[in-house]
Amino acid sequence: MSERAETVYDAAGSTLIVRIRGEVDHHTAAEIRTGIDRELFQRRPKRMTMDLSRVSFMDSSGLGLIMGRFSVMRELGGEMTVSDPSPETLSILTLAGMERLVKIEYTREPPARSKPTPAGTKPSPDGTPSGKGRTRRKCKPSA
Amino acid sequence: MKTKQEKPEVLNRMQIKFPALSVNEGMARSVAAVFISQLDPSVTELADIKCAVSEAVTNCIVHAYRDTTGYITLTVTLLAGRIVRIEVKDKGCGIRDIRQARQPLFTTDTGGERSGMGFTVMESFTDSLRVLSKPGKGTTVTMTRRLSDRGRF
Repeated sequence: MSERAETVYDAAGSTLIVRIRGEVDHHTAAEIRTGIDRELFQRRPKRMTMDLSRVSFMDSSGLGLIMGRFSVMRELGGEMTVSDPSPETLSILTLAGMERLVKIEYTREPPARSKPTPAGTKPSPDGTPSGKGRTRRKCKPSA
Repeated sequence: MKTKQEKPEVLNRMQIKFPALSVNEGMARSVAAVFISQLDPSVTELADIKCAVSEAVTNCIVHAYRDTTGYITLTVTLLAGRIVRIEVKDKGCGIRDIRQARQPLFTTDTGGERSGMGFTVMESFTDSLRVLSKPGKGTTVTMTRRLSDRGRF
């Protein structure tokens, strides 16, 4: 049932932006995972950003998907971020304390066009977050 | 003196039985959500319940019927006092150590990409979670969630 979830890939310099749309569960995660990994091994990006702004449902299979892609990126010597989690994904990301593993960033504008991330630079000077269950916010999500 | 607590009145109930196929995960949580909608839950409450149902059903598919196939029974009961009770039942392999299974990040599926957060999510997104299991016989997960009054009289 690929109509339940869709993945679109955008490249911005050495960053691969993975935009997931639809529902992420155990069923759809398998397909999403295969697709992303194929792109990662072909393109070998320095950085991967997983855009969750259009994900309408996500359960713990989505957490597994993120953790797994984090490992793949580390294997490839790159880094991974999650961007603009939708309200439906934010609650479970917060519950799992995902921000301790993966940087969660908020961008108002489409990251592909107006906000290319310079390759190899670390945008965050502050150390690892220590707050329990806290979500780091770059800016407030649009109301 | 009464020692037994009075059971809340059952207002409505629905039950579906479906094969343990991953394609049914989305169907099961959607059906539960549609049924619960008659109580006019908040968006967050509905999202939480959908997620909890999805976790329970996924567990049946990934773990209970790992090497076999079988059926999953989902029962949703609406009780007086805006209480929703969800029961997810399988006749799969059962859980040997429930306490361990309920630990955050614990998973027996080390080869796959399971986060080990299933029971933690169910626990966090509902008010109560009960797991009954017998190795070789199956597992029944029962969750309840009381919906907010949202300004009702």
